[in-house]
Amino acid sequence: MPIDAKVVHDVAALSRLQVDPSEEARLVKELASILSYVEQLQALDVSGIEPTSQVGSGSKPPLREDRVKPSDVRDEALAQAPDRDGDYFRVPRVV
Amino acid sequence: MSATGPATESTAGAGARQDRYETVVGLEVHAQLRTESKIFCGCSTKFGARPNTQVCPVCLGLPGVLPVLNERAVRFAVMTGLAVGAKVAERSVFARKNYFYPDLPKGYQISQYDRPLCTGGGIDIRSGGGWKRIGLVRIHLEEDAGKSLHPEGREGVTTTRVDLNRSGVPLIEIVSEPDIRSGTEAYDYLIRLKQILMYLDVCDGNMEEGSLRCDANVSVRLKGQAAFGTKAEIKNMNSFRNVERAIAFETDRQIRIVESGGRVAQETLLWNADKGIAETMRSKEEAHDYRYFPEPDLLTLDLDPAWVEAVRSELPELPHQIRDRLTRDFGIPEYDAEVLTETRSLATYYEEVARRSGNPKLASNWIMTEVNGIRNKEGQSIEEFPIRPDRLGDLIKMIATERISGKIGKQVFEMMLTRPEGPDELVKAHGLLPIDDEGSLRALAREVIAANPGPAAEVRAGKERTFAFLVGQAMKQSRGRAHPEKIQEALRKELGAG
Repeated sequence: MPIDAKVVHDVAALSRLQVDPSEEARLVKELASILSYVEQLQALDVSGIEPTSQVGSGSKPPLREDRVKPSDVRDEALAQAPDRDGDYFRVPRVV
Repeated sequence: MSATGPATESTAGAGARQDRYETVVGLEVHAQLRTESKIFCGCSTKFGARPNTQVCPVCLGLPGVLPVLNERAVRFAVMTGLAVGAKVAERSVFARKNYFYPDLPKGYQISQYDRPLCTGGGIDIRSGGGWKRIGLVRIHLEEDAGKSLHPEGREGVTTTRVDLNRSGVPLIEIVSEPDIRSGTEAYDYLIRLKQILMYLDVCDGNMEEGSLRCDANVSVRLKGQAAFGTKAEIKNMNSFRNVERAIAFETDRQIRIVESGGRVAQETLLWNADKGIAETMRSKEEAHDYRYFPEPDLLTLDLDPAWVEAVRSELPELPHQIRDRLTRDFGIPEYDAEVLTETRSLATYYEEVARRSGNPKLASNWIMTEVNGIRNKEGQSIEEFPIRPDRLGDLIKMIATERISGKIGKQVFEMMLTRPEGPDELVKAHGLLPIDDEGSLRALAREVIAANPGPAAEVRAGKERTFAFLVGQAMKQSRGRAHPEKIQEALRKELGAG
Protein backbone atom coordinates (compact mmCIF):
# COMPACT_ATOMS: atom_id res chain seq x y z
CA MET A 1 0.00 0.00 0.00
CA PRO A 2 1.53 3.28 -1.08
CA ILE A 3 1.77 5.76 1.74
CA ASP A 4 1.08 9.35 0.77
CA ALA A 5 -0.03 12.51 2.49
CA LYS A 6 -3.70 11.50 2.23
CA VAL A 7 -3.13 8.21 4.05
CA VAL A 8 -1.29 10.05 6.80
CA HIS A 9 -4.15 12.50 7.08
CA ASP A 10 -6.83 9.80 7.18
CA VAL A 11 -5.05 7.70 9.77
CA ALA A 12 -4.41 10.78 11.87
CA ALA A 13 -8.08 11.78 11.66
CA LEU A 14 -9.24 8.29 12.69
CA SER A 15 -6.83 8.36 15.60
CA ARG A 16 -7.82 11.90 16.60
CA LEU A 17 -4.21 13.03 16.14
CA GLN A 18 -3.26 16.49 15.04
CA VAL A 19 -0.48 16.37 12.50
CA ASP A 20 1.50 19.51 11.89
CA PRO A 21 1.91 20.08 8.12
CA SER A 22 5.61 20.46 8.66
CA GLU A 23 5.76 16.86 9.93
CA GLU A 24 3.84 15.40 7.03
CA ALA A 25 6.70 14.64 4.69
CA ARG A 26 8.70 12.99 7.44
CA LEU A 27 5.72 10.84 8.53
CA VAL A 28 5.03 9.72 4.97
CA LYS A 29 8.60 8.60 4.66
CA GLU A 30 8.79 6.88 8.04
CA LEU A 31 5.45 5.09 7.69
CA ALA A 32 6.41 3.86 4.24
CA SER A 33 9.70 2.59 5.54
CA ILE A 34 8.09 0.77 8.47
CA LEU A 35 5.47 -0.84 6.27
CA SER A 36 7.97 -1.94 3.66
CA TYR A 37 9.94 -3.62 6.41
CA VAL A 38 6.83 -5.48 7.57
CA GLU A 39 5.98 -6.32 3.99
CA GLN A 40 8.89 -8.73 3.89
CA LEU A 41 6.48 -11.11 5.59
CA GLN A 42 4.47 -11.26 2.38
CA ALA A 43 7.20 -13.44 0.93
CA LEU A 44 6.20 -16.29 3.24
CA ASP A 45 3.81 -18.93 2.01
CA VAL A 46 1.12 -19.13 4.68
CA SER A 47 -1.56 -20.85 2.62
CA GLY A 48 -3.19 -23.55 4.70
CA ILE A 49 -2.00 -22.06 7.97
CA GLU A 50 -4.59 -20.95 10.48
CA PRO A 51 -4.07 -17.22 11.22
CA THR A 52 -2.49 -16.70 14.61
CA SER A 53 -4.99 -14.23 16.03
CA GLN A 54 -3.76 -14.78 19.52
CA VAL A 55 -0.85 -16.62 20.95
CA GLY A 56 -2.20 -19.52 22.95
CA SER A 57 -5.15 -20.32 20.68
CA GLY A 58 -6.32 -23.85 21.07
CA SER A 59 -6.10 -23.76 24.81
CA LYS A 60 -9.36 -23.26 26.63
CA PRO A 61 -10.14 -19.62 27.27
CA PRO A 62 -10.79 -18.91 30.91
CA LEU A 63 -14.50 -18.29 31.39
CA ARG A 64 -16.06 -16.50 34.33
CA GLU A 65 -19.05 -17.76 36.19
CA ASP A 66 -21.84 -15.20 35.86
CA ARG A 67 -21.69 -13.73 39.30
CA VAL A 68 -21.77 -10.08 40.36
CA LYS A 69 -18.66 -8.82 42.03
CA PRO A 70 -19.49 -5.38 43.36
CA SER A 71 -16.93 -2.75 42.58
CA ASP A 72 -17.78 0.70 43.70
CA VAL A 73 -14.99 2.77 42.28
CA ARG A 74 -17.29 5.60 41.28
CA ASP A 75 -15.83 8.28 43.53
CA GLU A 76 -12.28 7.34 42.72
CA ALA A 77 -12.96 7.22 38.99
CA LEU A 78 -14.90 10.47 38.93
CA ALA A 79 -12.23 12.16 41.02
CA GLN A 80 -9.63 11.28 38.42
CA ALA A 81 -11.73 12.34 35.45
CA PRO A 82 -10.90 15.67 33.82
CA ASP A 83 -14.42 16.87 34.56
CA ARG A 84 -17.56 15.66 36.29
CA ASP A 85 -21.15 16.72 36.79
CA GLY A 86 -22.49 15.15 39.95
CA ASP A 87 -22.56 11.39 39.36
CA TYR A 88 -21.63 11.76 35.70
CA PHE A 89 -18.46 12.17 33.73
CA ARG A 90 -18.66 15.43 31.85
CA VAL A 91 -17.26 15.81 28.33
CA PRO A 92 -17.54 18.44 25.61
CA ARG A 93 -20.94 18.30 23.91
CA VAL A 94 -20.89 15.68 21.16
CA VAL A 95 -24.30 16.09 19.51
CA MET B 1 -32.31 17.18 -6.30
CA SER B 2 -31.92 16.80 -2.61
CA ALA B 3 -31.80 13.22 -1.49
CA THR B 4 -32.94 13.94 1.99
CA GLY B 5 -35.94 16.27 1.95
CA PRO B 6 -38.96 15.03 3.84
CA ALA B 7 -41.53 13.33 1.68
CA THR B 8 -44.57 15.33 0.78
CA GLU B 9 -48.13 14.04 0.87
CA SER B 10 -48.91 11.22 -1.51
CA THR B 11 -50.39 12.38 -4.76
CA ALA B 12 -52.77 10.54 -7.03
CA GLY B 13 -50.89 8.09 -9.20
CA ALA B 14 -48.11 7.68 -6.70
CA GLY B 15 -49.56 4.31 -5.71
CA ALA B 16 -49.31 2.99 -9.26
CA ARG B 17 -45.70 4.11 -9.52
CA GLN B 18 -44.93 2.66 -6.12
CA ASP B 19 -46.19 -0.72 -7.29
CA ARG B 20 -43.31 -0.97 -9.74
CA TYR B 21 -40.83 -1.01 -6.88
CA GLU B 22 -40.03 -3.29 -4.06
CA THR B 23 -38.34 -2.38 -0.83
CA VAL B 24 -35.42 -4.45 0.41
CA VAL B 25 -34.77 -4.46 4.12
CA GLY B 26 -32.20 -6.07 6.37
CA LEU B 27 -32.41 -5.64 10.12
CA GLU B 28 -29.70 -5.51 12.75
CA VAL B 29 -31.03 -6.22 16.19
CA HIS B 30 -29.06 -5.75 19.38
CA ALA B 31 -30.39 -7.79 22.26
CA GLN B 32 -29.11 -7.40 25.79
CA LEU B 33 -28.45 -10.78 27.35
CA ARG B 34 -30.04 -11.42 30.73
CA THR B 35 -26.90 -12.06 32.67
CA GLU B 36 -26.31 -10.91 36.21
CA SER B 37 -22.85 -9.54 35.50
CA LYS B 38 -21.21 -7.83 32.53
CA ILE B 39 -19.59 -9.71 29.65
CA PHE B 40 -15.96 -9.16 30.66
CA CYS B 41 -16.12 -8.18 34.34
CA GLY B 42 -18.15 -8.80 37.47
CA CYS B 43 -20.09 -5.51 37.52
CA SER B 44 -23.86 -5.75 37.79
CA THR B 45 -25.99 -5.30 34.68
CA LYS B 46 -29.03 -4.09 36.63
CA PHE B 47 -30.93 -1.31 34.92
CA GLY B 48 -31.64 2.00 36.58
CA ALA B 49 -28.84 2.13 39.16
CA ARG B 50 -27.29 5.41 40.24
CA PRO B 51 -24.95 6.58 37.44
CA ASN B 52 -21.44 5.17 37.40
CA THR B 53 -21.95 2.87 40.39
CA GLN B 54 -21.73 -0.36 38.38
CA VAL B 55 -18.26 0.19 37.03
CA CYS B 56 -14.79 -1.19 37.62
CA PRO B 57 -11.36 -0.76 36.05
CA VAL B 58 -12.24 -3.27 33.29
CA CYS B 59 -15.39 -1.58 31.99
CA LEU B 60 -13.94 1.88 32.60
CA GLY B 61 -11.18 0.98 30.17
CA LEU B 62 -8.37 1.66 32.62
CA PRO B 63 -4.88 0.46 31.71
CA GLY B 64 -3.51 -2.85 32.89
CA VAL B 65 -6.74 -4.83 33.08
CA LEU B 66 -7.80 -7.96 31.22
CA PRO B 67 -11.28 -8.98 30.11
CA VAL B 68 -12.55 -12.42 31.21
CA LEU B 69 -15.50 -13.78 29.27
CA ASN B 70 -18.80 -14.49 31.03
CA GLU B 71 -19.78 -18.14 30.53
CA ARG B 72 -23.51 -17.45 30.65
CA ALA B 73 -23.26 -14.80 27.94
CA VAL B 74 -21.68 -17.41 25.67
CA ARG B 75 -24.34 -19.94 26.60
CA PHE B 76 -27.19 -17.49 25.89
CA ALA B 77 -25.73 -16.54 22.53
CA VAL B 78 -25.30 -20.20 21.59
CA MET B 79 -28.87 -20.96 22.71
CA THR B 80 -30.15 -18.20 20.45
CA GLY B 81 -28.12 -19.48 17.53
CA LEU B 82 -29.36 -23.04 17.99
CA ALA B 83 -32.97 -21.89 18.35
CA VAL B 84 -32.89 -20.18 14.96
CA GLY B 85 -31.06 -23.03 13.25
CA ALA B 86 -27.75 -21.22 12.94
CA LYS B 87 -24.40 -22.95 12.74
CA VAL B 88 -22.40 -22.47 15.93
CA ALA B 89 -18.73 -22.00 15.17
CA GLU B 90 -16.31 -24.27 16.95
CA ARG B 91 -13.93 -21.36 16.91
CA SER B 92 -14.92 -17.72 16.90
CA VAL B 93 -12.73 -14.69 17.40
CA PHE B 94 -13.24 -11.47 19.29
CA ALA B 95 -12.15 -8.32 17.55
CA ARG B 96 -11.63 -4.69 18.38
CA LYS B 97 -13.84 -2.20 16.64
CA ASN B 98 -12.07 1.11 16.95
CA TYR B 99 -13.82 4.44 17.13
CA PHE B 100 -13.88 7.46 19.36
CA TYR B 101 -16.93 8.38 21.35
CA PRO B 102 -17.16 9.54 24.96
CA ASP B 103 -19.31 6.59 26.05
CA LEU B 104 -16.69 4.12 24.81
CA PRO B 105 -13.93 4.47 27.36
CA LYS B 106 -11.41 2.09 25.79
CA GLY B 107 -11.61 3.72 22.37
CA TYR B 108 -12.71 0.36 20.98
CA GLN B 109 -15.60 -2.00 21.42
CA ILE B 110 -14.89 -5.69 21.85
CA SER B 111 -17.04 -7.37 19.23
CA GLN B 112 -16.70 -10.14 16.71
CA TYR B 113 -15.92 -9.46 13.11
CA ASP B 114 -14.78 -11.98 10.51
CA ARG B 115 -15.37 -15.03 12.68
CA PRO B 116 -18.68 -14.61 14.50
CA LEU B 117 -20.10 -17.13 16.94
CA CYS B 118 -23.08 -18.10 14.77
CA THR B 119 -23.80 -17.98 11.06
CA GLY B 120 -26.92 -18.77 9.03
CA GLY B 121 -30.28 -19.89 10.30
CA GLY B 122 -33.53 -18.04 9.87
CA ILE B 123 -36.82 -16.92 11.31
CA ASP B 124 -40.18 -17.80 9.78
CA ILE B 125 -42.61 -14.92 9.48
CA ARG B 126 -46.13 -14.49 8.13
CA SER B 127 -46.28 -13.17 4.62
CA GLY B 128 -49.48 -13.01 2.63
CA GLY B 129 -51.43 -16.10 3.58
CA GLY B 130 -48.41 -18.28 4.26
CA TRP B 131 -45.00 -18.41 5.82
CA LYS B 132 -41.74 -16.94 4.64
CA ARG B 133 -38.25 -17.53 5.95
CA ILE B 134 -36.06 -14.53 6.71
CA GLY B 135 -32.48 -15.74 6.60
CA LEU B 136 -29.89 -14.71 9.14
CA VAL B 137 -26.38 -13.68 8.24
CA ARG B 138 -24.88 -13.98 11.70
CA ILE B 139 -25.24 -13.66 15.44
CA HIS B 140 -22.25 -12.38 17.32
CA LEU B 141 -21.33 -11.42 20.87
CA GLU B 142 -20.21 -7.97 21.85
CA GLU B 143 -20.12 -5.50 24.70
CA ASP B 144 -22.41 -2.50 25.00
CA ALA B 145 -21.14 1.05 25.27
CA GLY B 146 -22.03 3.46 28.05
CA LYS B 147 -24.77 6.02 27.82
CA SER B 148 -24.34 9.63 26.73
CA LEU B 149 -26.88 12.11 27.97
CA HIS B 150 -26.98 14.82 25.38
CA PRO B 151 -28.38 18.24 26.17
CA GLU B 152 -30.88 17.79 23.36
CA GLY B 153 -32.04 21.05 21.91
CA ARG B 154 -30.74 22.97 24.87
CA GLU B 155 -29.06 26.07 23.54
CA GLY B 156 -25.88 27.15 25.19
CA VAL B 157 -25.17 23.83 26.90
CA THR B 158 -21.69 22.83 25.88
CA THR B 159 -21.30 19.50 27.65
CA THR B 160 -22.52 15.92 27.46
CA ARG B 161 -22.84 13.71 30.52
CA VAL B 162 -21.67 10.09 30.50
CA ASP B 163 -22.88 7.16 32.56
CA LEU B 164 -20.79 4.00 32.16
CA ASN B 165 -23.07 1.56 34.03
CA ARG B 166 -24.05 0.04 30.68
CA SER B 167 -20.46 -0.17 29.44
CA GLY B 168 -19.63 -3.86 29.05
CA VAL B 169 -23.16 -5.22 29.30
CA PRO B 170 -23.38 -8.32 27.06
CA LEU B 171 -25.18 -8.01 23.75
CA ILE B 172 -25.83 -10.23 20.81
CA GLU B 173 -26.19 -8.63 17.43
CA ILE B 174 -28.52 -10.52 15.12
CA VAL B 175 -28.12 -9.57 11.48
CA SER B 176 -30.77 -10.61 8.98
CA GLU B 177 -30.33 -11.20 5.29
CA PRO B 178 -31.97 -8.53 3.11
CA ASP B 179 -35.01 -10.81 2.79
CA ILE B 180 -37.58 -8.44 4.26
CA ARG B 181 -39.83 -6.72 1.75
CA SER B 182 -41.99 -4.34 3.76
CA GLY B 183 -42.43 -2.59 7.06
CA THR B 184 -45.12 -5.12 7.91
CA GLU B 185 -42.73 -8.02 7.36
CA ALA B 186 -40.12 -6.24 9.46
CA TYR B 187 -42.66 -5.87 12.25
CA ASP B 188 -43.55 -9.56 12.16
CA TYR B 189 -39.88 -10.55 12.07
CA LEU B 190 -39.18 -8.46 15.18
CA ILE B 191 -42.21 -9.81 17.05
CA ARG B 192 -41.10 -13.39 16.35
CA LEU B 193 -37.45 -12.76 17.12
CA LYS B 194 -38.40 -11.16 20.43
CA GLN B 195 -40.72 -14.08 21.15
CA ILE B 196 -37.89 -16.57 20.61
CA LEU B 197 -35.52 -14.56 22.83
CA MET B 198 -38.12 -14.44 25.57
CA TYR B 199 -38.98 -18.13 25.33
CA LEU B 200 -35.28 -18.83 25.70
CA ASP B 201 -35.26 -16.35 28.59
CA VAL B 202 -32.02 -14.86 27.31
CA CYS B 203 -33.35 -11.29 26.94
CA ASP B 204 -36.10 -9.42 28.73
CA GLY B 205 -37.26 -7.77 25.50
CA ASN B 206 -37.75 -4.39 27.12
CA MET B 207 -37.37 -1.77 24.39
CA GLU B 208 -37.84 1.21 26.71
CA GLU B 209 -34.84 0.15 28.75
CA GLY B 210 -32.86 -0.55 25.59
CA SER B 211 -32.74 -4.34 26.00
CA LEU B 212 -33.75 -4.62 22.35
CA ARG B 213 -32.62 -2.15 19.72
CA CYS B 214 -33.08 -2.28 15.99
CA ASP B 215 -31.45 -0.60 13.01
CA ALA B 216 -32.81 -1.05 9.50
CA ASN B 217 -30.99 -1.03 6.16
CA VAL B 218 -33.46 0.03 3.50
CA SER B 219 -33.17 0.25 -0.25
CA VAL B 220 -35.58 0.12 -3.16
CA ARG B 221 -35.34 -1.40 -6.61
CA LEU B 222 -37.59 -2.04 -9.57
CA LYS B 223 -39.36 -5.35 -9.23
CA GLY B 224 -37.52 -8.03 -11.13
CA GLN B 225 -34.22 -6.21 -10.88
CA ALA B 226 -31.49 -8.37 -9.37
CA ALA B 227 -29.12 -5.67 -8.14
CA PHE B 228 -29.82 -3.89 -4.89
CA GLY B 229 -30.33 -0.15 -4.76
CA THR B 230 -28.22 2.10 -2.57
CA LYS B 231 -29.19 1.57 1.02
CA ALA B 232 -29.79 3.99 3.81
CA GLU B 233 -29.48 2.96 7.43
CA ILE B 234 -32.20 4.05 9.84
CA LYS B 235 -31.48 4.24 13.53
CA ASN B 236 -33.24 5.42 16.66
CA MET B 237 -36.47 3.47 16.28
CA ASN B 238 -37.65 2.76 19.78
CA SER B 239 -40.59 0.48 19.06
CA PHE B 240 -41.46 -2.22 16.54
CA ARG B 241 -44.28 -0.01 15.23
CA ASN B 242 -41.77 2.75 14.64
CA VAL B 243 -39.59 0.35 12.67
CA GLU B 244 -42.60 -0.47 10.52
CA ARG B 245 -43.45 3.21 10.04
CA ALA B 246 -39.85 4.24 9.37
CA ILE B 247 -39.45 1.60 6.66
CA ALA B 248 -42.70 2.69 4.99
CA PHE B 249 -41.55 6.30 5.14
CA GLU B 250 -38.09 5.56 3.81
CA THR B 251 -39.41 3.36 1.00
CA ASP B 252 -41.65 6.17 -0.13
CA ARG B 253 -38.86 8.73 0.08
CA GLN B 254 -36.42 6.62 -1.93
CA ILE B 255 -38.97 5.84 -4.65
CA ARG B 256 -39.63 9.56 -5.03
CA ILE B 257 -35.94 10.27 -5.41
CA VAL B 258 -35.47 7.54 -8.01
CA GLU B 259 -38.66 8.49 -9.85
CA SER B 260 -37.53 12.08 -10.16
CA GLY B 261 -34.22 10.99 -11.63
CA GLY B 262 -32.21 11.47 -8.45
CA ARG B 263 -29.89 9.11 -6.66
CA VAL B 264 -30.32 7.77 -3.16
CA ALA B 265 -27.37 8.72 -0.99
CA GLN B 266 -25.78 6.14 1.25
CA GLU B 267 -26.31 7.69 4.64
CA THR B 268 -27.49 7.17 8.17
CA LEU B 269 -30.91 8.50 9.11
CA LEU B 270 -32.42 9.06 12.50
CA TRP B 271 -36.10 8.26 12.88
CA ASN B 272 -38.04 11.11 14.42
CA ALA B 273 -41.16 9.45 15.82
CA ASP B 274 -42.84 12.73 16.73
CA LYS B 275 -42.57 14.13 13.23
CA GLY B 276 -42.91 10.72 11.55
CA ILE B 277 -39.87 11.34 9.36
CA ALA B 278 -36.31 10.07 9.04
CA GLU B 279 -33.67 12.79 9.21
CA THR B 280 -30.08 12.75 8.04
CA MET B 281 -27.62 11.91 10.78
CA ARG B 282 -24.35 11.74 8.97
CA SER B 283 -23.22 11.02 5.49
CA LYS B 284 -21.59 7.67 4.92
CA GLU B 285 -19.45 9.09 2.13
CA GLU B 286 -16.41 8.87 4.35
CA ALA B 287 -17.59 5.56 5.74
CA HIS B 288 -16.43 4.64 9.19
CA ASP B 289 -13.19 2.80 9.14
CA TYR B 290 -13.30 0.78 12.31
CA ARG B 291 -9.88 -0.79 11.73
CA TYR B 292 -11.01 -4.12 13.14
CA PHE B 293 -8.32 -6.44 14.36
CA PRO B 294 -8.32 -9.55 16.55
CA GLU B 295 -8.63 -8.73 20.25
CA PRO B 296 -5.20 -9.58 21.68
CA ASP B 297 -6.53 -9.71 25.25
CA LEU B 298 -8.86 -12.64 24.59
CA LEU B 299 -8.13 -16.08 23.28
CA THR B 300 -10.18 -17.46 20.45
CA LEU B 301 -13.48 -18.78 21.73
CA ASP B 302 -13.24 -22.53 21.17
CA LEU B 303 -16.40 -24.45 21.93
CA ASP B 304 -16.47 -28.15 22.56
CA PRO B 305 -19.08 -29.66 20.19
CA ALA B 306 -20.27 -31.85 23.06
CA TRP B 307 -20.93 -28.75 25.14
CA VAL B 308 -22.88 -27.19 22.27
CA GLU B 309 -24.93 -30.38 21.94
CA ALA B 310 -25.62 -30.31 25.66
CA VAL B 311 -26.90 -26.75 25.33
CA ARG B 312 -29.06 -27.87 22.41
CA SER B 313 -30.57 -30.70 24.40
CA GLU B 314 -31.52 -28.28 27.16
CA LEU B 315 -33.28 -25.81 24.87
CA PRO B 316 -36.82 -25.13 26.00
CA GLU B 317 -39.73 -25.78 23.68
CA LEU B 318 -39.92 -22.95 21.13
CA PRO B 319 -42.99 -21.03 19.95
CA HIS B 320 -43.36 -22.86 16.66
CA GLN B 321 -42.94 -26.23 18.37
CA ILE B 322 -45.67 -25.49 20.89
CA ARG B 323 -47.86 -24.10 18.09
CA ASP B 324 -47.51 -27.36 16.18
CA ARG B 325 -48.16 -29.41 19.28
CA LEU B 326 -51.30 -27.47 20.19
CA THR B 327 -52.80 -27.80 16.71
CA ARG B 328 -51.93 -31.49 16.66
CA ASP B 329 -52.89 -32.52 20.20
CA PHE B 330 -55.85 -30.25 20.77
CA GLY B 331 -57.08 -29.85 17.21
CA ILE B 332 -57.33 -26.09 17.48
CA PRO B 333 -56.78 -23.88 14.41
CA GLU B 334 -53.30 -22.56 13.68
CA TYR B 335 -54.55 -19.03 14.27
CA ASP B 336 -55.62 -19.94 17.82
CA ALA B 337 -52.34 -21.69 18.48
CA GLU B 338 -50.45 -18.61 17.43
CA VAL B 339 -52.40 -16.30 19.71
CA LEU B 340 -52.04 -18.74 22.60
CA THR B 341 -48.27 -19.09 22.20
CA GLU B 342 -47.67 -15.36 22.38
CA THR B 343 -45.75 -16.03 25.57
CA ARG B 344 -44.58 -19.27 27.12
CA SER B 345 -46.72 -18.65 30.21
CA LEU B 346 -49.87 -18.03 28.17
CA ALA B 347 -49.28 -21.32 26.36
CA THR B 348 -48.89 -23.11 29.70
CA TYR B 349 -52.03 -21.43 31.01
CA TYR B 350 -53.96 -22.52 27.95
CA GLU B 351 -52.77 -26.10 28.17
CA GLU B 352 -53.96 -26.38 31.75
CA VAL B 353 -57.35 -24.87 30.95
CA ALA B 354 -57.73 -27.07 27.88
CA ARG B 355 -57.00 -30.25 29.83
CA ARG B 356 -59.11 -29.38 32.82
CA SER B 357 -62.11 -28.23 30.78
CA GLY B 358 -62.00 -31.22 28.46
CA ASN B 359 -62.89 -28.89 25.59
CA PRO B 360 -59.75 -27.38 24.04
CA LYS B 361 -61.50 -25.30 21.40
CA LEU B 362 -63.92 -23.75 23.89
CA ALA B 363 -60.96 -23.09 26.19
CA SER B 364 -59.16 -21.37 23.34
CA ASN B 365 -62.18 -19.19 22.53
CA TRP B 366 -62.56 -18.14 26.14
CA ILE B 367 -58.91 -17.24 26.56
CA MET B 368 -58.65 -15.40 23.25
CA THR B 369 -61.79 -13.32 23.81
CA GLU B 370 -62.68 -13.07 27.50
CA VAL B 371 -59.31 -13.51 29.20
CA ASN B 372 -57.29 -11.54 26.67
CA GLY B 373 -60.03 -8.90 26.55
CA ILE B 374 -59.65 -8.23 30.26
CA ARG B 375 -55.88 -8.48 30.15
CA ASN B 376 -55.60 -5.99 27.30
CA LYS B 377 -57.91 -3.58 29.09
CA GLU B 378 -56.04 -3.91 32.38
CA GLY B 379 -52.58 -4.29 30.91
CA GLN B 380 -52.11 -7.58 32.78
CA SER B 381 -49.72 -10.37 32.00
CA ILE B 382 -51.22 -13.84 32.20
CA GLU B 383 -49.35 -14.34 35.48
CA GLU B 384 -51.21 -11.37 36.94
CA PHE B 385 -54.61 -12.46 35.67
CA PRO B 386 -56.79 -13.20 38.73
CA ILE B 387 -58.50 -16.35 37.44
CA ARG B 388 -56.02 -19.20 37.52
CA PRO B 389 -56.28 -22.04 35.01
CA ASP B 390 -57.90 -24.50 37.46
CA ARG B 391 -60.91 -22.27 38.09
CA LEU B 392 -61.25 -21.23 34.44
CA GLY B 393 -60.99 -24.87 33.39
CA ASP B 394 -63.80 -25.79 35.79
CA LEU B 395 -65.98 -22.97 34.48
CA ILE B 396 -65.47 -23.98 30.87
CA LYS B 397 -66.20 -27.56 31.75
CA MET B 398 -69.57 -26.48 33.20
CA ILE B 399 -70.35 -24.72 29.94
CA ALA B 400 -69.02 -27.52 27.75
CA THR B 401 -71.16 -30.09 29.59
CA GLU B 402 -74.14 -27.71 29.39
CA ARG B 403 -74.56 -27.44 33.12
CA ILE B 404 -74.76 -23.71 32.55
CA SER B 405 -75.16 -21.62 29.41
CA GLY B 406 -72.40 -19.54 27.93
CA LYS B 407 -74.29 -16.46 28.99
CA ILE B 408 -74.41 -17.51 32.64
CA GLY B 409 -70.80 -18.56 32.24
CA LYS B 410 -69.91 -14.95 31.46
CA GLN B 411 -71.68 -13.75 34.60
CA VAL B 412 -69.77 -16.29 36.68
CA PHE B 413 -66.55 -15.28 34.92
CA GLU B 414 -67.12 -11.63 35.88
CA MET B 415 -67.63 -12.66 39.51
CA MET B 416 -64.54 -14.82 39.49
CA LEU B 417 -62.42 -11.80 38.51
CA THR B 418 -62.87 -10.33 41.97
CA ARG B 419 -63.70 -13.39 44.08
CA PRO B 420 -61.72 -16.42 45.10
CA GLU B 421 -64.49 -19.05 44.83
CA GLY B 422 -64.72 -21.68 42.14
CA PRO B 423 -67.47 -21.52 39.51
CA ASP B 424 -69.52 -24.30 41.09
CA GLU B 425 -69.78 -22.49 44.42
CA LEU B 426 -70.65 -19.19 42.74
CA VAL B 427 -73.33 -20.77 40.58
CA LYS B 428 -74.95 -22.35 43.64
CA ALA B 429 -74.55 -19.34 45.92
CA HIS B 430 -76.11 -16.97 43.40
CA GLY B 431 -78.90 -19.24 42.17
CA LEU B 432 -77.48 -19.31 38.70
CA LEU B 433 -78.26 -22.92 37.90
CA PRO B 434 -80.31 -23.22 34.74
CA ILE B 435 -84.08 -23.50 34.83
CA ASP B 436 -84.86 -26.47 32.68
CA ASP B 437 -87.57 -28.43 34.45
CA GLU B 438 -91.01 -28.34 32.95
CA GLY B 439 -92.78 -26.98 36.06
CA SER B 440 -90.50 -24.01 36.63
CA LEU B 441 -90.43 -23.14 32.95
CA ARG B 442 -94.24 -23.22 32.69
CA ALA B 443 -94.49 -21.01 35.77
CA LEU B 444 -92.03 -18.57 34.27
CA ALA B 445 -93.96 -18.56 30.99
CA ARG B 446 -97.21 -17.79 32.82
CA GLU B 447 -95.55 -14.92 34.65
CA VAL B 448 -94.22 -13.40 31.41
CA ILE B 449 -97.58 -13.72 29.67
CA ALA B 450 -99.37 -12.15 32.60
CA ALA B 451 -96.94 -9.26 32.68
CA ASN B 452 -97.21 -8.68 28.92
CA PRO B 453 -100.89 -9.09 27.97
CA GLY B 454 -100.61 -6.95 24.82
CA PRO B 455 -97.77 -8.83 23.17
CA ALA B 456 -99.28 -12.15 24.27
CA ALA B 457 -102.49 -11.22 22.51
CA GLU B 458 -100.54 -10.29 19.37
CA VAL B 459 -98.87 -13.70 19.28
CA ARG B 460 -102.15 -15.45 19.75
CA ALA B 461 -103.49 -13.36 16.85
CA GLY B 462 -100.71 -14.83 14.72
CA LYS B 463 -98.06 -12.09 14.91
CA GLU B 464 -95.13 -14.45 15.06
CA ARG B 465 -92.48 -11.76 15.36
CA THR B 466 -93.71 -10.73 18.78
CA PHE B 467 -92.98 -14.24 20.04
CA ALA B 468 -89.27 -13.45 20.12
CA PHE B 469 -90.08 -10.52 22.39
CA LEU B 470 -91.75 -12.83 24.89
CA VAL B 471 -88.80 -15.24 24.79
CA GLY B 472 -86.51 -12.29 25.45
CA GLN B 473 -88.64 -11.23 28.40
CA ALA B 474 -88.48 -14.74 29.83
CA MET B 475 -84.70 -14.82 29.49
CA LYS B 476 -84.47 -11.41 31.12
CA GLN B 477 -86.82 -12.40 33.92
CA SER B 478 -84.77 -15.51 34.61
CA ARG B 479 -81.50 -13.60 34.30
CA GLY B 480 -80.52 -15.81 31.41
CA ARG B 481 -81.06 -19.03 33.30
CA ALA B 482 -84.05 -20.32 31.34
CA HIS B 483 -83.17 -23.13 28.94
CA PRO B 484 -83.39 -21.33 25.59
CA GLU B 485 -85.28 -24.05 23.66
CA LYS B 486 -87.40 -25.37 26.48
CA ILE B 487 -88.69 -21.90 27.44
CA GLN B 488 -89.99 -21.52 23.90
CA GLU B 489 -91.90 -24.75 24.23
CA ALA B 490 -93.27 -23.66 27.59
CA LEU B 491 -94.38 -20.29 26.22
CA ARG B 492 -96.11 -21.96 23.26
CA LYS B 493 -97.93 -24.28 25.56
CA GLU B 494 -99.02 -21.53 27.96
CA LEU B 495 -100.07 -19.22 25.11
CA GLY B 496 -102.08 -22.04 23.63
CA ALA B 497 -103.60 -22.85 26.99
CA GLY B 498 -104.45 -19.20 27.65
